[in-house]
Amino acid sequence: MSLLPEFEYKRPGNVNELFDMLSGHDGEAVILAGGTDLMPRIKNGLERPALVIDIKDIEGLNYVKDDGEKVRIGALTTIYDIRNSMLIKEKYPALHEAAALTANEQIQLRGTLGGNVLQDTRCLYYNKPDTWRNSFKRCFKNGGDICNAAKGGKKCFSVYRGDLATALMSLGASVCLVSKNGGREIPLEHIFSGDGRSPFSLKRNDFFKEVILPSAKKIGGYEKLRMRKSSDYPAVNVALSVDTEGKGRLVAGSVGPRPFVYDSLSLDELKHLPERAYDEAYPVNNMALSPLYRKRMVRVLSDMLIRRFVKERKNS
Amino acid sequence: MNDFRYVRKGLKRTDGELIVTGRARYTVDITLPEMLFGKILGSPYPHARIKKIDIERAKELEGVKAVITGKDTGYRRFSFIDTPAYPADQTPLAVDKVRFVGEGVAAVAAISEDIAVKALNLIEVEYEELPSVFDPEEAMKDEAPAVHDIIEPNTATAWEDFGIPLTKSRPYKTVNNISNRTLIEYGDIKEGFEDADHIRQDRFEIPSTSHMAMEPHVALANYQPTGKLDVWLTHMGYEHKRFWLAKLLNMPMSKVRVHKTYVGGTFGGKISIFPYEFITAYLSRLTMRPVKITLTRQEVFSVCPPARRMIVYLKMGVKGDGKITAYHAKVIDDVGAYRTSSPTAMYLAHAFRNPIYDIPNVRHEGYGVYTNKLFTTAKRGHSLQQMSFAVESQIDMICEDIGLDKIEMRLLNFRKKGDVLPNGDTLRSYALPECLKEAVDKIGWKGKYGKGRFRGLGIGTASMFSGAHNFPFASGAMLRLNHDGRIILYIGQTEFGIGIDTVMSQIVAEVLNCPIDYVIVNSGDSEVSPNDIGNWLSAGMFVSGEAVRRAALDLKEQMLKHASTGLETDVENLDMLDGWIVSRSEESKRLSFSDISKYGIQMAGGDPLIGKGFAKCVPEVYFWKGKFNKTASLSSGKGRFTEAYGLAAATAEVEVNPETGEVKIVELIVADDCGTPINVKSVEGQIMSQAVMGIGDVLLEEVRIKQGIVMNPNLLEYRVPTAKDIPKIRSIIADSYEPNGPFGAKEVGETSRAAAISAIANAICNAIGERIYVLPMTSDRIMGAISDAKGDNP
Amino acid sequence: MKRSVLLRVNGERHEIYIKPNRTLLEALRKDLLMTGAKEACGAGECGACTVLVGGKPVNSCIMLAVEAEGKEIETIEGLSKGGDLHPLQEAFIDHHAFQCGFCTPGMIMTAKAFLNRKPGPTKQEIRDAIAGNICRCTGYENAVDAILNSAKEM
Repeated sequence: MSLLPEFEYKRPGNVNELFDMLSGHDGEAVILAGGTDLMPRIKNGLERPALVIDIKDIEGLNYVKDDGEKVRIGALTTIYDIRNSMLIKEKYPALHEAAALTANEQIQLRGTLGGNVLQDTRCLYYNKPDTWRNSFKRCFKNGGDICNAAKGGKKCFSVYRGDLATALMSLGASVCLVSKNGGREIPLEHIFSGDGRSPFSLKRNDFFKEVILPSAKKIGGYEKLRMRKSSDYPAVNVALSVDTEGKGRLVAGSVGPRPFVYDSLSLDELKHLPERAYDEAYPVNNMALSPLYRKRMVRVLSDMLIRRFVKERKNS
Repeated sequence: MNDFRYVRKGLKRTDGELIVTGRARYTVDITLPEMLFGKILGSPYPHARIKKIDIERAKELEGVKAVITGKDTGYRRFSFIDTPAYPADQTPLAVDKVRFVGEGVAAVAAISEDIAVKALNLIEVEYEELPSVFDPEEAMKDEAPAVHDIIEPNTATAWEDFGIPLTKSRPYKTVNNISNRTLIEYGDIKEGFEDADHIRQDRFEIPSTSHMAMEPHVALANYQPTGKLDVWLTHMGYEHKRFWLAKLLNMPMSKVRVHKTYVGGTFGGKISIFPYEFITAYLSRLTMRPVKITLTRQEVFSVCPPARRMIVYLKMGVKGDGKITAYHAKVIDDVGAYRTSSPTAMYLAHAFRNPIYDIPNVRHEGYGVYTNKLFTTAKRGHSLQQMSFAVESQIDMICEDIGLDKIEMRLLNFRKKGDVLPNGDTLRSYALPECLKEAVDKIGWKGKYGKGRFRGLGIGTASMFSGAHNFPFASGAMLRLNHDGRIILYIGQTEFGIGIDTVMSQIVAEVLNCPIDYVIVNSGDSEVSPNDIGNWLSAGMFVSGEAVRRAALDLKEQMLKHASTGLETDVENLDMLDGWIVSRSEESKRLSFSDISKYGIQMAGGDPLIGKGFAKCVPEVYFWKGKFNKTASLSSGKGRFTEAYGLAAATAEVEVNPETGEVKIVELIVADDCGTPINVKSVEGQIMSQAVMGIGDVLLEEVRIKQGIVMNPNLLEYRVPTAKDIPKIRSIIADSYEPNGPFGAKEVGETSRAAAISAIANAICNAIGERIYVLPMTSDRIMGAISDAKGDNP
Repeated sequence: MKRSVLLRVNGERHEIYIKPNRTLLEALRKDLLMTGAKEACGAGECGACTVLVGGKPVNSCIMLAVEAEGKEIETIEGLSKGGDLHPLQEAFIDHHAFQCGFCTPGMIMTAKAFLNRKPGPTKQEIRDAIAGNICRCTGYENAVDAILNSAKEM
């Protein structure tokens, strides 16, 4: 059987206990929610925690609530619940579609908002057991000094492939991070470092508590290119969330170490975004489907979303 | 003849309860007292000399009971094919050098899996990397690194062990990395092409695809103090496994017992002996404890052979009306580090296409070529899907070139029922034209072809044998009547999804006209089986099923004889009815099956009434002490091959998204000529299974190997169809009857996959108006072809 | 460090002595000798290890046994009551929804949880629900039919 290396396990009952456990272990602790991303990584030897902290007992983190000004989604809300939320379906079609298209229903029932957003970047040469990786030199993401995917590459080309973050960023989402010293809210795009080696610029004691969305309803959607009709990570994913004037954002994912955000103030501006998204995407040969094809599909998927928007605007 | 009680019916699986309750025991589920866990250390390099292996630290680890290397297991060699011309080339652990990434160099046995993994990490191996070669056409050049040198046969080859009195085994000198050759010729190819009005020449490339059986490869061995070896495997037939284990361990074959287990899928990937199987047995004998090795999914992808990689150069010539005058195929089988079944595959690359089109002038060349990659094997028919893809694609292209109707051209060239093939096989049943007509009709070809942008239709065909003269050449079956009137059937067939117990019960119950639950089946145990051809030569039904039928007839005869004496009635006046033997003239004169058993014991000197039946794959082929009527030669194609061919034709309709290259299969229709379907539901299930696997082969699946490394050894990156990826599929069972098969049955299913692959491939190319010469046809390749056509690509 | 872990499986209490890195699948197969749930990939990519925890289907190969402490665990072994098969089990037999059977326990447990969530499903909804259960043998259609029909029974 494929086995996990040894570690300790603790279950905090509240966020304060969590902070105590984290500071007690100084960087060798990981947070476990659904585990669908974390556990395979530990099995592959990509993560070697001394302590696994299971946060599923912490109450008050599983909600979708509208306080009139903002809509807040707790970090432990499952992807399935996000998908089934009528509120989200009504107001934020991009997020609804992204949740519906994430992995498969079995994973959706277990995976959480926090876990899905904070998933590590991926690469065909990286997400493998350590015995397999012995055939290669250590790469940037693995603490080495080369890239195995892009020969001669001077940086890490691992790819951020989360479904929800792309949609959330199109909606102008913020995250609430809490620590022992209190809480702060920052735009979601600011938690991404842009460095594949360590994709999140979160401080060690930052705990992702909830996502905050502006209350205004948006038009838009989410397009995901994948080879099968289920289970696969996106080869390319694009989210669009705009108001009736075309003001909003187009976000392209799976083409770099973080989603790429494109703002638009009008329908005219919107129509130029696919070209920009195409220009800036730099996929390499570290997943199925050729990089050139995926680069092209950024534009194709973006165009599709804009066409959908135009059609919907006409109908409404 | 069609008025059967059980044959042709879709009976529910008699062992279904075991499966749905989780009680069916697979080898992965079995634990024995004192069992040790084994793990194998693989090479990280594709080609390297082993300079030193230090196992001391591993041996010292607490809980480790044994550590072995190639020095211990060394000289013995094995292979799928082991003949005087092609002696076996593979050792269980690498001895002096490794030839592919993942090749085993050492193995440990420990009291827990944890400790076994830790022990592996303590083994230090010093390698000297050697230049590698990955491309087969590069490997054939003079300057290419040599994967093998001279392959010495160290003991008699398997062929000689089987008693084939041919030439003595001889060393095989590898030249230009060629592992084996096949050359089959009929007629005059030069004249044939001169005679043609139109000629096409194309190159096709088909990668490896994985079987991806849900149960990983696993073996459990228990060497007893009595010198007997018990094994539990995941496999397709015990005879090959038992033969090779015995030979490699230098012990009598009958002292190796392969126990019955449920098997979690095989698809051709679990036929011949594997290194891990021998290693468990060896470690068990060494430690005198049971040893189990379960491969992880990543290990299965990386070290267990997937389907064969092939490059097919195809040249066909046709007359203006479409009649094929000449066919020249050159097939390169990129075998990887070890030859395994390449000679067979290169022969079958011809033999499986032979029954389809009647071509007077043929030249078929096959070359196995060594490269420093994972070795390969059969997948639901050696070469079946590769050749179907190549030939059917070219047929479509020829039709497009000269404006022929794709259906009519095929019908014009199909063989006919009763034809005798150039090697002497007779097509006694042949419903391929009917299969094609039905598939074409049901998909609405005439109304749809050529209409609609980015919508396409395609046709595919395939044929498959029903057993061949390969060890153990025949099957036997035994039936025993018990005191309670029930019958126990003893057969060697393996259960890996075909519902073998049910199907064989149907045959017995049909012959004895008794309730189906009167039949209890004891299958898959080598010690209890009278002999069995296995389930990987497509002879399960045709040969083993026939043996069962004859055993039932034999038992019936014995039972009627006792009944005749007991009832004082002539045998001709007796009928079997629902577990009774009844006098036709006087219904009250009857004896139950239970009565007959008791009669045998009490009144016939203790006769337990045992029925015996047997059948041979190819009756007229034999060899015995220097005399022989030759079986098909794998290198020249001459000689009798099989008694019956299963056939299939498929049609597919697809839509291609011109913006993304994504394919939607609108409908897939598969028509299978399997003779009589013994269990209709089982046959439909087989066809469906094959069709879905074919969809995977065409759209999704590829074992990606880069620099000798399997890049996608997991289920996220090696994509098999999910429940959401299945289009509308219809299966049709052709109206056909094979006179030499049990109740008219012959091979079923495998042709469906190959036919489906070629049909879908043709449909995609029809939809986009461009030809793609490789598989799988992923959306990026399709967009590439569309863009090339538009002149869009830089 | 090993510690005592209490698991409630199919209504029965089991105390096992394990380290925290033991997955739920390992605990079931190795410690409790319940071999219905299978490992086919070990990474949560195939569903063959599906069991229900708190009524929800989980890939037990990527769940820790300690995570399941305090929750109701249901496996294929607990589905039939006495000698009576659950409607799903009957339906799978009736509709020929398995061949090699290796994926079957996982698929049936997924289906059970699904039918509890959604009693009157469409075929498409069933396909969505079992998309995480890979089957290499059957092509899925018969399983979809089996689940559709047992929905009517349940």
